[in-house]
Amino acid sequence: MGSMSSMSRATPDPDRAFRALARRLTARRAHELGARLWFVLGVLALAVAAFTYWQVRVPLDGTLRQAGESAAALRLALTLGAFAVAGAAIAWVRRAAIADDPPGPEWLALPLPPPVIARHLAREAMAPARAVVVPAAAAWLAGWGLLPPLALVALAFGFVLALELLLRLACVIALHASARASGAASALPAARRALVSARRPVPATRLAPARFRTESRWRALARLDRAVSSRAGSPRGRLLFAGAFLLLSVAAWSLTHDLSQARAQAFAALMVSCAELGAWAAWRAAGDPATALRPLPLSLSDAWRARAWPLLAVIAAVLVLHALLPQGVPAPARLGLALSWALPALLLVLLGLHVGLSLGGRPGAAEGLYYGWLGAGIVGSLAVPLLGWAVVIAALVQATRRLGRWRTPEVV
Amino acid sequence: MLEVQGLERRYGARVALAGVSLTVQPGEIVGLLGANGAGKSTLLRTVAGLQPPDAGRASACGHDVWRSPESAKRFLGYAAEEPSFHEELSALEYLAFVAAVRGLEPESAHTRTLALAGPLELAPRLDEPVRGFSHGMRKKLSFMAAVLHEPAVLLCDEALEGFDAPSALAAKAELRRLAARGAAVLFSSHVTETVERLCDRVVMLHEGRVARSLTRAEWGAGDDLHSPLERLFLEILGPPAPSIASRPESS
Repeated sequence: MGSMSSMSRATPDPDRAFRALARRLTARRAHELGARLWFVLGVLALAVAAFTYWQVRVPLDGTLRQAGESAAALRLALTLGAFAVAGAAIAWVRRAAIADDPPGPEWLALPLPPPVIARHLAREAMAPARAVVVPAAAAWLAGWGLLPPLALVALAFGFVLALELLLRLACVIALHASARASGAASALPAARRALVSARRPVPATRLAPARFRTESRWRALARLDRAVSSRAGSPRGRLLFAGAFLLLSVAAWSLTHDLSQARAQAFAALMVSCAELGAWAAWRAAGDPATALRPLPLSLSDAWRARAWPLLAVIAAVLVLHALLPQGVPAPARLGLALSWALPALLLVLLGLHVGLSLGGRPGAAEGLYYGWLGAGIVGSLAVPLLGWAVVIAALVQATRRLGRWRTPEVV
Repeated sequence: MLEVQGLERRYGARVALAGVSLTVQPGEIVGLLGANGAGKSTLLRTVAGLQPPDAGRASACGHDVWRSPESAKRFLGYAAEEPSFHEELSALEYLAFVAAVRGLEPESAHTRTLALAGPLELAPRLDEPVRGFSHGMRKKLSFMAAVLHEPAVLLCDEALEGFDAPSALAAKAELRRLAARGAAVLFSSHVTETVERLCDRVVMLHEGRVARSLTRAEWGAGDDLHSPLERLFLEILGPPAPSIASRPESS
């Protein structure tokens, strides 16, 4: 082996090394997004900012006229506070996820104090949470011309301070909540305990023996989806959430005697459920491990049918219930109601599926893009009634045109 | 039979495959040797249908992998270098799925699964979730999935790396058995001794091109220090770089 004595050594400065790492990671991620995605993100940020501006500006003006300057300032402060809390919630979720599976090398193998590593991982968790600055800045701008500049400057400082404090607090709480360990490890400080308990080996629990059976390929894939989704994890959570809202949607007819109110509640719950089913489809369609699935004789049609048929069957069953349940409504009207709801339900579910199929091997990206389109749709509908559905239809057309990419995957 | 003609592949400016052509006849085990980055894994992933080529074609039993992928993949088996699975499933559930997609008769597929799992020492763990598997166990599972349907064309990308000695012996015996039944096997490895003992022919890749193709009779004997294939391999790569220990110390 080469002699270590020839290598010059300096006193290690972990903070400096981590600052350099953070800079490089930020630059690399910014570069990897690409110009087109930056443009899309910019447009989305502008849309969200414009939407927030008007949503805050009009009520703030009303409060100023009715209750005076102090009440308006308090209202804006509460709005900014809500954004800071939302940022903290995002940071909490991210920090918990990072504590379970910390990105990067085997941190404990490096001669670094765990608090330094914990600070780096907390910065990683806080980065996406800072996206709340976009709507918060728009809300703050909405106060210009209504509140005195001094109050606005104070609110801006207060928001930045509150955001930074809440983000750090959320990360600390998430770290302590996630740092599970037993035995000798339980006596360690939280930062080290979290790293010790991360990526822990899975206990060798036995599952029910699998059955070998004869079936068509898409049915085999659908059965695989069922097995994967029935186990703990993200797909099961999505299906449970969707199932709960499907039940709520059906139960809405018996919760109130006001038919128009019941209809609105049933439709809203159905749409939330379909949005989540779409997210499940995007996650599953994009999440198949390439080296296991790609060498198999499966076609795009198999991959589509395996997800589409079960989802369409569920939606059809729920729509049948919606056509049968409402009391005091003529049968043709009930049928019309169910049929008119079928189109938006199909749009949401198929959008998720097509986005997932066109982004094979990248479930995170598929989910992000799907929710991005839904977000754009919601913003569009709030700005101009029904514009959101035009956005979703455009997204579905775009995703459908990209379905051919399923056949030419890129697995590097 | 596996046929690869003029396969080209670039990653940006870097050329991974520069017109690779080779044929593996039925009953033949062909070793694929090359330095790191020579293009072995790219070649196997392209032939397995995991990533498209920029040019050229690959066909299994006369079916083009990229023009009629489903037909070609019926004949193909692929054991990955870095296998990935649905982590939530048990090994048996995953293999049952593979058997169903490949249209295997359930009874015989189950019997074959158990017959493979025994010698590979995976039988006691078949009902456990893949999430808890070690690297070697994952490789064994990938190998089992690749050979479950007794493929006509088998692609092994560092397939035996990570196997313990008894399992490696069992896997090599299975490869020989498949070849004896007429399978064309393309076997990539860094371990020249394994290739020497297992393969009938060797294709050496260097910088994305086929540098040499040798039969067992042609690679001859080695010397005291090197096995025959190691010696030939070093000839292609040129004189070895000075070892870490022999480098002059920097001033």
